[in-house]
Amino acid sequence: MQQAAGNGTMLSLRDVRIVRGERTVLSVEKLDLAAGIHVLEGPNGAGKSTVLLAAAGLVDLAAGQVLLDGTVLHDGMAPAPVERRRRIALVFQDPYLMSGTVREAVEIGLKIRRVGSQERRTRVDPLLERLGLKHLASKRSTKLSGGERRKVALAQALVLDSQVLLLDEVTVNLDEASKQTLIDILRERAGGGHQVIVIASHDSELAHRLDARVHRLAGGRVLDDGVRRP
Amino acid sequence: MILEGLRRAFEMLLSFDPQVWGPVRVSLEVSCVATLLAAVAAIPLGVVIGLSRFAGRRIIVSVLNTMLALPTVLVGLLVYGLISRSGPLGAWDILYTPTAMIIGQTILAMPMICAFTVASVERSDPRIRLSMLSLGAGRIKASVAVALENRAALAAALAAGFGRVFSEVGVAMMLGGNIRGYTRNITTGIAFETGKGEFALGVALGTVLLVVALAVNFAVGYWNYRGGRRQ
Ligand SMILES: Nc1ncnc2c1ncn2[C@@H]1O[C@H](COP(=O)(O)OP(=O)(O)O)[C@@H](O)[C@H]1O
Ligand SMILES: [Mg+2]
Repeated sequence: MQQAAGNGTMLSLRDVRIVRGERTVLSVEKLDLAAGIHVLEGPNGAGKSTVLLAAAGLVDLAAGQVLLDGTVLHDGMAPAPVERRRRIALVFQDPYLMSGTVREAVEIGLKIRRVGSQERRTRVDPLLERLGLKHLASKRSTKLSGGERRKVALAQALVLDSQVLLLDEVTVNLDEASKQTLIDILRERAGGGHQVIVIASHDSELAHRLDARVHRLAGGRVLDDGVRRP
Repeated sequence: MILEGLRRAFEMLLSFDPQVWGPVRVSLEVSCVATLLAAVAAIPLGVVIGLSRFAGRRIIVSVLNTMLALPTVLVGLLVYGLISRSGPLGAWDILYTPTAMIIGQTILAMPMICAFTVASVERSDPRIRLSMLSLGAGRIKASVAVALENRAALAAALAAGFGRVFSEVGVAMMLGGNIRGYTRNITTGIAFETGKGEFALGVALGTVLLVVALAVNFAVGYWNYRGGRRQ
């Protein structure tokens, strides 16, 4: 079992039920995700992406609440209020990049938060460098390969330095070097002890390399409560 | 006689005869201003309708689609009733002015631009709005982003609205009154000159109308195609 107390940062789902069409696609009584790295595992359609969308306040909740450190992030209709959503960053399973250059794409979230151009640059540049995107900075985002697009989407989220980071099938299309870079970045951030990182993935090797807690999902339910694989 | 008419028509066009280019200028000015005014209201409205999912939304969309077929003379009649001397806005004294034509054409263009906008937003990529929301945008900013990412389709909407008003006669005739050098435009000019037996002038005006209408149609098709592409 994981420590619920400690430094406090905690993302929780309480009695969350999500209905799409007529069908209940997610039903989670209690899921607590403390600071650190968590992997949601499960077959296609298990509800992994839906958990992330719920935590990001982007899908209607038929019942229940999403809480961060005990305060409500999302309940009821999506989208959740903007100031709550800004505590969270999400990389979609199939990311869309706005037209413009790669640099512009990575800066969008900071621009929305009215971060000045000087500071944007000092936050974006090292990240582009580290993810091997620097040479693409002025390339149009519509002209990228699948893997490049995913790395830009990752950079968009990472640069926000939010309390909660949600990553959906994030290693798809990534080469081994990029994957290792991502793993290093995530482990560094988790080491800080303040960020909750949740990854939906069916790559079980990834959970091991991240030393993550694994939560198995099936049929819209959480099967176990954060075991750490040996 | 037709060949002779054609020959004289091209002479008029090439010699920049003010009898031809005067009405062309009126048409372009009135229809451009009307299209832009209509767009200011119709595009935001169309984006909101296209993105929302309230009950009764379907009804609004079908009313909108029905209004595409609104006969121009009916719009002319309605506005005439408002702005003629005895009407509620009679004090404005704008009947038979370009302003009156602009009002009528704005009303005509709005449903067109709005319906095109709704359709393009409906079939646009749903990930656009979600991405913006996930990056911390408010609802309005996210909607603006949807519009910007669909700018080709919105250009098609504008062109369609312009095409509708540029080639119509009813509003221009009833509210403009076909006053030479003032409110006479291409379509009222054609009707009037041909009736008078000035066949060549009618053909010259008709040629400009045809060229512009074809260009606009081409633009609608091209931008619609561009707007339909996905990542
Ligand atoms: N937009 C949607 N409309 C209807 N059903 C959906 C939608 N998105 C997901 N679902 C359904 O919800 C269930 C869970 O999907 P998802 O969370 O994407 O699964 P996973 O990410 O684990 O593969 C699936 O049965 C899927 O068909
Ligand atoms: Mg998924």
